[in-house]
Amino acid sequence: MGDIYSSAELTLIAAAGANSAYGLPGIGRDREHPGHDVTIGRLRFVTSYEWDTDEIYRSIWSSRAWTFQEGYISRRRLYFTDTRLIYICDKEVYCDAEIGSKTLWYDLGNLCRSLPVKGSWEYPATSILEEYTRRKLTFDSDALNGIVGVLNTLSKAESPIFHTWGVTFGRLPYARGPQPLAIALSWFHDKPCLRREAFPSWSPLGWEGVANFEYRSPVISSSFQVNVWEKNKYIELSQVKQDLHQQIDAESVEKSRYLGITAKLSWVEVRYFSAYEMLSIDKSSVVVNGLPYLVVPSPGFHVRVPTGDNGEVYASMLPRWDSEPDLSLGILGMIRVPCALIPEGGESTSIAVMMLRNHGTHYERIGYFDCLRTYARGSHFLFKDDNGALTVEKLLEDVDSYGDEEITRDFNNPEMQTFLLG
Amino acid sequence: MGNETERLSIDDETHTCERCSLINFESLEKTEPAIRAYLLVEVQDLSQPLTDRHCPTCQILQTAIDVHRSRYPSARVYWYRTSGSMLGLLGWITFEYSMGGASYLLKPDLMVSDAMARWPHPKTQLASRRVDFGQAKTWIDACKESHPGCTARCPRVLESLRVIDCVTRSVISAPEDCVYIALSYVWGKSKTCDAPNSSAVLDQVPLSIDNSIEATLMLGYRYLWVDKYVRWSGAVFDRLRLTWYLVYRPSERCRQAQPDKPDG
Repeated sequence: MGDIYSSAELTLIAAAGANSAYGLPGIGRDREHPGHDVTIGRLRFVTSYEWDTDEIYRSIWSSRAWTFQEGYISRRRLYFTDTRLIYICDKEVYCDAEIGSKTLWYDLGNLCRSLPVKGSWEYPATSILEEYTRRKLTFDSDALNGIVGVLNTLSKAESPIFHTWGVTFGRLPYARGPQPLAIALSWFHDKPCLRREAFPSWSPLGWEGVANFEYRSPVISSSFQVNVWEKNKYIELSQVKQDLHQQIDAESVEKSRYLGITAKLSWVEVRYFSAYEMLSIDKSSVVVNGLPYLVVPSPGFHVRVPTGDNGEVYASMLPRWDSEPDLSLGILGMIRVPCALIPEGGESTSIAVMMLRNHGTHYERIGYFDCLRTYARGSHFLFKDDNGALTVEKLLEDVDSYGDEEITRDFNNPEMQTFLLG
Repeated sequence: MGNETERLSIDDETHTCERCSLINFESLEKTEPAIRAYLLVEVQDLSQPLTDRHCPTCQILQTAIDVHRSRYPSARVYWYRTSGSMLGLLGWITFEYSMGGASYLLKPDLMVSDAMARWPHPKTQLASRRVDFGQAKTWIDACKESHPGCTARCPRVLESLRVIDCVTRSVISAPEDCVYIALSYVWGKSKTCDAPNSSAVLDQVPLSIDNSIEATLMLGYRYLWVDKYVRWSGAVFDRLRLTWYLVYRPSERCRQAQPDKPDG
């Protein structure tokens, strides 16, 4: 399919209407003028979009997973929308209606996520997945097929980016010195979503929700290693020279669903806070800028990590759950959830926490959060737990660095372990 | 409704509502662009229409509000005066909405230009009702001349590719070195979507495909590739070493297996 679109002289794109009976505006039906064109006194008001391309982005054509690949891989695209005709090749954009300023190729708005924009590798690779997971897929089993043609184009680039089950990895070309190898496991969901069991939990394709990526991806280092299945054995990620989805036989495909991860493994306490509990927390001792602290922390499944010297004070953070944990197994509404600590970025001390569910032979991920980002986002508080009566001690201050010392303190003495992530 | 009826005058008091008649467009127009002037309209509840539909000012504000009201319950509407002369563009209407204590601006939904001085405004060019293929051809030609990177990515001939010959409106094996146009579209719940026999002449096709055939010809090309019309020629793709699942939308397979189910 990919070759057919990339080999075409031009691709006509029906970016209007909900089906193939709608026709192409300007041929089968008259084009509409924008909603308003009103003159008041000497002034003329014309409805416009933020970008000329917004009409394409908001079309049903743009809402479908399969069309992402068709538009991305084409070389020359002629979009038929209800109000205009837009031509976008890999260099230039033309439009037969101009309202406001001319649309430029590097300012295509949201649509640029569906086009081969050049840039640092992490951004295009991860924005492809972000855009793709936003789109509607009729059949779950198509999740990988609908994107694989686009991901293939990345493996042919000068700094090749490969992928396994849609998760991209490659060398960071802009780094100084030896180029670190990064793998885009740093995604999260805004809210819990349904699992696609046919795909691994560590891939955004393994879930039905929209994937968001952190700016930085985890980097392979002495404290974080990833092995992947290729042909007949596990090999280090750095040894991979091709896209791994090309493994055709069923056994290899099955084995490739598991990553062999070596990382610091530990556990965190997870506790559910209801809206009522959050409202009733005593915050009287907290003063911010001389004013009482009135913000009510968000209810939900919080991760509760010990902090401070004596272990009496806890930090509570609302992580990003892919799938909420089952608290019915716990005592007093609290359970221990296994987690892997993954360093993000190159020399940065940012640590991501991947929360896991134990499946006996392997783990699956159920949530993700970045320590620095989560601390800074304000969805956290420090509290004392005195026989169930919660007192907010103070707000957790923004953290500049998060290193071994803090990890050991907050994550119950994690140990390096190797495990399968499926 | 034609444009003439929409171009209402602000002087027509019977059409301008009481609130909007207080808006001093004249003064805004005369404001020195160097000063960042704006017109502010507070809209507390975006779920309610601004006022009656006869007021043109309310209508244009409402148009902008409609875009965002599902996402933002309340907002302030600003009309920013453009600083500097952007070819007669006087500014834009924008929204400021608040969420979680922070304020956000939404970029323009309504462009405001100086109607009388430059009419039609050089930068406010609406598309004609019908596509001008001559113009589209100039874009394609310009791209071919100056963008070597935009040339078809796959140099090899796609052997035994099946395409629609737009002149005879029949599905044929693509000739050698076939230059073809591809179509990307949403099938949806269209009724006339049965794939024809491989050699059939296409007399009844969905409107979008019919229009694409016309567009192909008008752009000076002859062959059009539409996924629905090549699905029976699976064997040819083996030669391209493309796996089955890459060639076909699997949803198409499902539909073949369940012919009675409505299109999804």
